[in-house]
Amino acid sequence: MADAEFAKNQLILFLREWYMHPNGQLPAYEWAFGDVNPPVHAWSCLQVYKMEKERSGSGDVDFLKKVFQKLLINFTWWVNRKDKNGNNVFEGGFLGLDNIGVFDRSNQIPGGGYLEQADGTAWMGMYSLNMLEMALEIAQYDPTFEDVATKFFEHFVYIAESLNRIGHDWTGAWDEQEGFFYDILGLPNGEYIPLKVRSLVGLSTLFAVFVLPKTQLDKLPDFAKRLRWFQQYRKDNGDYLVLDEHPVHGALHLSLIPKERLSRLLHAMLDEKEFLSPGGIRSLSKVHEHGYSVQIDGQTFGLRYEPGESSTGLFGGNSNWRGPVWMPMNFMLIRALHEYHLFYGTEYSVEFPTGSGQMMCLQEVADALSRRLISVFEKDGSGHRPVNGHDRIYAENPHFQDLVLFYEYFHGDTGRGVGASHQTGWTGVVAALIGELG
Amino acid sequence: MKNTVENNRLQEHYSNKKHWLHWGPYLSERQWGTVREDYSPGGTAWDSFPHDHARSRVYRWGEDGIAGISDEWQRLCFAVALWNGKDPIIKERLFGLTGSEGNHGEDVKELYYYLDNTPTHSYMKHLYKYPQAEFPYEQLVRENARRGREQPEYELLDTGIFDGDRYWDVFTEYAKADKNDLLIKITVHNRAPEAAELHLLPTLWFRNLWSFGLMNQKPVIRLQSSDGLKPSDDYRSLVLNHEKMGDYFFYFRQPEHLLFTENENNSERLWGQPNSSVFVKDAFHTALTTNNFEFLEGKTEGTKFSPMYRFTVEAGGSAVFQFRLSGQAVKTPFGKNFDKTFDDRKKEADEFYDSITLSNREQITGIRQAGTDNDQQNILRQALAGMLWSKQYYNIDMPRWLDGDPGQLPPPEERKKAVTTTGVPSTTRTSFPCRTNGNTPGTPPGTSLSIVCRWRWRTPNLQKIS
Repeated sequence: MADAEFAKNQLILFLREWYMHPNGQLPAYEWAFGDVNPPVHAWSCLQVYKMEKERSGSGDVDFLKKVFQKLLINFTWWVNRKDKNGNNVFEGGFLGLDNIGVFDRSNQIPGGGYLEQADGTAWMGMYSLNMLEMALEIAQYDPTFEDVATKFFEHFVYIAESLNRIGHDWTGAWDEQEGFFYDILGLPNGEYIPLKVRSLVGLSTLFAVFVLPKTQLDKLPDFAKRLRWFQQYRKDNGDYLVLDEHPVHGALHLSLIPKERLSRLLHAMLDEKEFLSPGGIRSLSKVHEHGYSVQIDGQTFGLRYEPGESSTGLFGGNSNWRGPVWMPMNFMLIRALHEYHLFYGTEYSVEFPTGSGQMMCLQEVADALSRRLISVFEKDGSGHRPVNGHDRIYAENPHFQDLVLFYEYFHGDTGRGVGASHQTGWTGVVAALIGELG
Repeated sequence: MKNTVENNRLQEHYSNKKHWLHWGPYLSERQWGTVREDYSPGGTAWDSFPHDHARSRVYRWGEDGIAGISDEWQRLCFAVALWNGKDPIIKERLFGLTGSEGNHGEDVKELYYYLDNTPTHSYMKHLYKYPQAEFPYEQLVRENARRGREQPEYELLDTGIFDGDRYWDVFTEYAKADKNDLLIKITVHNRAPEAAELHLLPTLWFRNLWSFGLMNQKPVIRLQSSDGLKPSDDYRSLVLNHEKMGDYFFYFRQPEHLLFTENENNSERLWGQPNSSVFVKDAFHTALTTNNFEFLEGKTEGTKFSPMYRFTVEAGGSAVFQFRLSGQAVKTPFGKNFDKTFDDRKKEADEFYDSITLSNREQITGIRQAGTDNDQQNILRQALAGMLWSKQYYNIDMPRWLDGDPGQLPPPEERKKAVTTTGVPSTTRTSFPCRTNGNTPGTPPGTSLSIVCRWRWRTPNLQKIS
């Protein structure tokens, strides 16, 4: 937003030989380089590319090429290291969401089992789509990249299918009865236990979405031809299609979520009794206010909705994902809603908030969410910013009233800032939301 | 998009015409308690380099300070230090709790704000709120330890120390007259209903690379003896010499004391080993808190320097201090151009932010549409200022970090095991070097800068590791 060149240089820096492991892994953080954070690097590269293209009129294709080559290595690391059963369903561990599960997802999986993660899989679905989008964008200038686009298209299809469907070696993460995606615990005896925690883990499936306009597809005849063949092949074999084609404008739509499931997921996400808070989407549904527990191997594991402080000592620093609002995840949800809207348009609308009777298209939902997130920092009628919680000095003292802090996360009911008070890097992304709505 | 002056500077920088990003807010707020500085056997980073050591102990991988800047390789640093005459230590760096000291223990317990910054750091503004009463160090530690996890943190505001407005607003501003010519303005407001006294120590220092075999020659900050002697001179100056940077010059008004020392360990305080000289890292702290300046008198060069100003400001009043750090000698460092440069850079910052936030129509006509929300623009500006202020110099050379430096005691062997069990890939030692330091030949400029949260980032606790 302020300095695209600097952003690009930083993104390239992370892919340099002295950051990326020769095996393709990107370090997670200083305390444990070998831990795994969500694979958002490709997404970031695309955001910066698109932002610059929109502003200056031309995109930096060389930058995309540069990062694409390195990301290929990192993508392959994920595929080879974090898909235990080779079923396109991914693990990954804590994936940045410290205490969101009933146990520490990086360690101590109870019962000697392993966790097939809905979010790990969703992130990888998104990663495939990011790589596909990059390849297609580069292919507009360099046709040799058309080939690899097909690879990521097909890879995405496999992931989408795995997440949604019961295969011979996998029960699927979607719970039809409850209309939500869950992590699945695989036990050594072959039994699968769904962990029915309604959280961002399930909502993260929304992130993987991509719309390819017909005009762009028409410029890539080879890719289009292969895509048609693949589509026909799957149709002939009775497989889930994943790919949607718009009857009017002909755009192609790839997402992890079939339309009917999308409606059910959004129904939960936009429900004030579940995820929708005055300050954005919560990390955990409020339905868990009275707790959730599950028996695994004779032990009871549980959690409950905790909108502010967390009572567990799972990770240091008490980063609480059991209810509070986290800006970066909300930002990604908003970005995803924009992309869905590109395909579904104004004809598709959902209730916002759920139960209000007020219907909105997804663009309007995205804007309404943005406004809620921005409102956390804004002065209300009495000059009080929700972010400041009980600190009245910010509302009452002229030497405080225009000062704004960007906290780590926000109370799930009140919007009060919690944790680090200068988490400028990710909470500061609210600047982009203000810029877009302004 | 309108082509603003700031955009032109960016253009110059990225087309390699002028290296505008050489200086910036790259100084961290906390180098103590980081994994990089941890040389303990068990990977207990918070305990092995606590805040209490920071004023006396040399850092290996980076530096820290308040509202500070450095060059992109963090060879030379500048930051603001303060003393209210009551604290047990001078305020050279922000205070916070370690991981185990309370709920959100890793958080800073201070009030400070990033008010403005531009991508080339042509203009920067920072605010630190410094209490006039004794800073409640012990109270913060004690009360946070007492509270459980489910209770909110006990913050500085909760101590009541800002009640009655008995505090200083310390605004630090920077404006670049040129890529290596930085004008510095520190404005101190007494918000209290009565007069109060403050000690201001704008501090310049070199990062200690000489003790680790990373430099041939120790750099030096030297007083220019000719300045300030003629009645017409209204300023003093220093020349700073560093083998990789060449000469820099620093200009300041005559202070009450000229303090020089060395950026060296106070081994006596830290480890009970005798010091080879009294000129150690915490010498200024010792001089102020014991009101003994004698042992520093007569020293006119070193690797750490501060002009010390002691002054009283009436209730509601303010005082302004000017400084200048330049890669070239300047004839009239504090002439009329000083304020004009600040005005220009501030205006250019406004134009730059207007260019990225207002609609084309608003930019062309210069008229803001009804509904352009000033409060939202303020939020946006501070959000981006925070990101730009968060650029920090980050340097770790893994093989060297594991094996230690030549001429130094080798780190304990157990440390290597502690590292392996954290889950670092087993090839760590040979092929996971985060080699971003300045002494790597051929490293392109700027690679050492990373945007990370200045205070803390995701840090799973260490208990599970050991």
